[in-house]
Amino acid sequence: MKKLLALILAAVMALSMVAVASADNNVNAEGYQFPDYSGKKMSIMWWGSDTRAKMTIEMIELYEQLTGLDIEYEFYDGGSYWTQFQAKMASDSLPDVFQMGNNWLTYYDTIQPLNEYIENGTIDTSAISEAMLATTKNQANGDITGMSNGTNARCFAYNPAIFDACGVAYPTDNWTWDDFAAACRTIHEKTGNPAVTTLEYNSLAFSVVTQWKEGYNFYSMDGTSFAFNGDVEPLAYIFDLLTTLQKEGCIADYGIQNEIGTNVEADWIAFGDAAIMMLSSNQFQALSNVAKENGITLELCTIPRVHADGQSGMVVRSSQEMCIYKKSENKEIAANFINFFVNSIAANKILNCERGVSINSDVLAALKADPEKTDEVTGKVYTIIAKIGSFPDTANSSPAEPAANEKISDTLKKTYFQGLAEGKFASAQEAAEKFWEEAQAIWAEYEAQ
Amino acid sequence: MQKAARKPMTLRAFINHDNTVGYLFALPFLIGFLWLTIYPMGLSLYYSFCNYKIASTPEWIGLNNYITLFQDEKFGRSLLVTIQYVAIGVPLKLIFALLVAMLLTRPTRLQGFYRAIYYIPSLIGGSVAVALVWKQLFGSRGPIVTLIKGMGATGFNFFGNSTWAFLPLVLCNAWQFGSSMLIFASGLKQIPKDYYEASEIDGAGAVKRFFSITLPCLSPIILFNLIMQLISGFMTFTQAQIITQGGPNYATNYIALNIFTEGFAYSHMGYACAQSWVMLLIMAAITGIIFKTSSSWTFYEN
Repeated sequence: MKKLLALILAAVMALSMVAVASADNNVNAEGYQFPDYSGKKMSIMWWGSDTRAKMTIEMIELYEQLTGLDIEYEFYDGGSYWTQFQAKMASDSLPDVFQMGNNWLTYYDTIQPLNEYIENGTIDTSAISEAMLATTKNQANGDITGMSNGTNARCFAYNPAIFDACGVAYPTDNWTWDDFAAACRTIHEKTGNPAVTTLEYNSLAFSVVTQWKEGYNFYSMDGTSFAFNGDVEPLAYIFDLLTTLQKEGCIADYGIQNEIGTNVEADWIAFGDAAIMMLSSNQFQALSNVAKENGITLELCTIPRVHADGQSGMVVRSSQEMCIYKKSENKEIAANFINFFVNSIAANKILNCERGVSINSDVLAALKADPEKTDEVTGKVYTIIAKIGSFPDTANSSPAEPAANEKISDTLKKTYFQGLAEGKFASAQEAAEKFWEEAQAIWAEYEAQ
Repeated sequence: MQKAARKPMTLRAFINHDNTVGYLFALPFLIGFLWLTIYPMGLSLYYSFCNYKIASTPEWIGLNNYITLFQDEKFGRSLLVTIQYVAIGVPLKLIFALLVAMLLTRPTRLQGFYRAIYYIPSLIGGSVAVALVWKQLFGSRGPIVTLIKGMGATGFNFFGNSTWAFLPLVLCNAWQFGSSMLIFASGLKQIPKDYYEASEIDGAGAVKRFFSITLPCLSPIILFNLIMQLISGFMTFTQAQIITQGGPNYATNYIALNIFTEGFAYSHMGYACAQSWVMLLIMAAITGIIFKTSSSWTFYEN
């Protein structure tokens, strides 16, 4: 009898272990057992500000404690990251996990699609909606290229105190480029400083195309071709507007913009020397930290529109993603780490949506409910993302960054915007036409490759 | 006379033979040179005829890269600004070097100290750290622009202006004149004092002495320094990348930076290799011309 009981108990225990093993890898569940990786190594690299580096290192150390894994990490600023990435790619020595942007099309050969890890439950997607997963999916073949670190949107930050001092009304949700120009001129006149420092010229140009008329877009939604139909009026419009403002000194010249570079923490707005700048919503935390040290509070607002009742030209997209290296020898470990990174509430309490608004609804709810984590600053980011997401036309804005985008954007900024400012073109119209010709030529180059 | 029968050398004799010892000591350099210089150069030549994206296989396209190159406005502009940089920067550097070298020929107590001080920039000048400092120094809120603004030119910014963006870079290069200066200093020491004494007796002034004695005697050294500085001037990269990133409207987009951007940012590695080879040919041509004409203006005492 005792033997039978022992046998039955053993069978029940065995069965229950099987049940646990096939359940989803839910790192937030009570009594979740972290895998034991003592003696194993994993490598990771990312780009970002100092603020991001501190948070990520803290989170990495947490994972190391929980699993005994030894993680080698490296991080760079936004510019040098890609040089390092290319060098490592050429020597087949990329780390197991790396951060990737929306330009994953260019580096497709280095990415391990995550579909199998999601299907077998290693990466738990139970709290992630299909729409969120789709932000990092290759629409052409259904590959999930990586787990999104969160969503963000390009928007403007402004200093309400300077607006008040100059008697300018705050930007509204649908303020226009004319409002923007008027505000800039007044602020420049009254303060003597440039009103605007950093602008991302290429995405502004592409947004203006989308704003011009319904159905207009620069790239197609899946990034495989141009959606631009050759009507260069929107391009000429924005070339003219921004260049004129720059010549008047309302927008900082290219030298100053180059000094600031990709370092959002060095932007003049944080030191009170400018009133408006453009950034990605997730960079707002780092910027506000610096601004707070100087006694400045900043607010977020939308990008100006062409028509007050027209399209917003804005889009909520994946900010960046974490990918697994295709030639990694530690893919299982990497998948578990990414699972923790995206889904763990404990981890995200450290990371606090600094890379983007979390795609995991449980994590987002937990962070929003925690008054320590969701202070004013992060609250503003959540608000603007929700707002932009609620604009009906964001579904029409293409978030794609095809392989040719890097060179096209660079050329747009350096040859055309900067060239127009130096008087190399007779008019904005001419510059716009020449740009469209060159963009098509560059695309053809990349097609031929 | 009978030829002595040649015995095969014993191992010991072989090891101690002059040739073997020579090759052995040269081996580290030879290995490095072949593996790290010649082999990559050969590969680069091969890639210049291919379409090569890093991490994918190169596919042969013949002379297409070179044909595109000749039609590429950006490359042409790059070449022009590099030549402008070199044409202004190198003479400036050599003039500073010669001036300071001449000032330091007088044996003062602190001569060694001064020489060291002037040499330090050429040690650290090419570094990223100094480039960053230079960026701040000439930046829109740096001391120099503030000074210029104070003199009345409001709204002036070196790096925002494509006409003036090259100046800080030229100055950064000229500031590193230390190594040329030391070579000039040693050259100056070698000029026989008799020439100067003889010319003083004949009543030649300081300027005449300089142009008639110093310069001709220094001409081989000037040739050497000119070639070395030209070559390093053409290869300027760090300052352009860190300080101006190619400058407003490509005004400081030097060849090395252009190659880097094409190869690494735009993934056109084959095209970048083609540009490198064209640059090599141009530099070789300029160096060749200087050598050819040097016989007319260099004076070797022996």
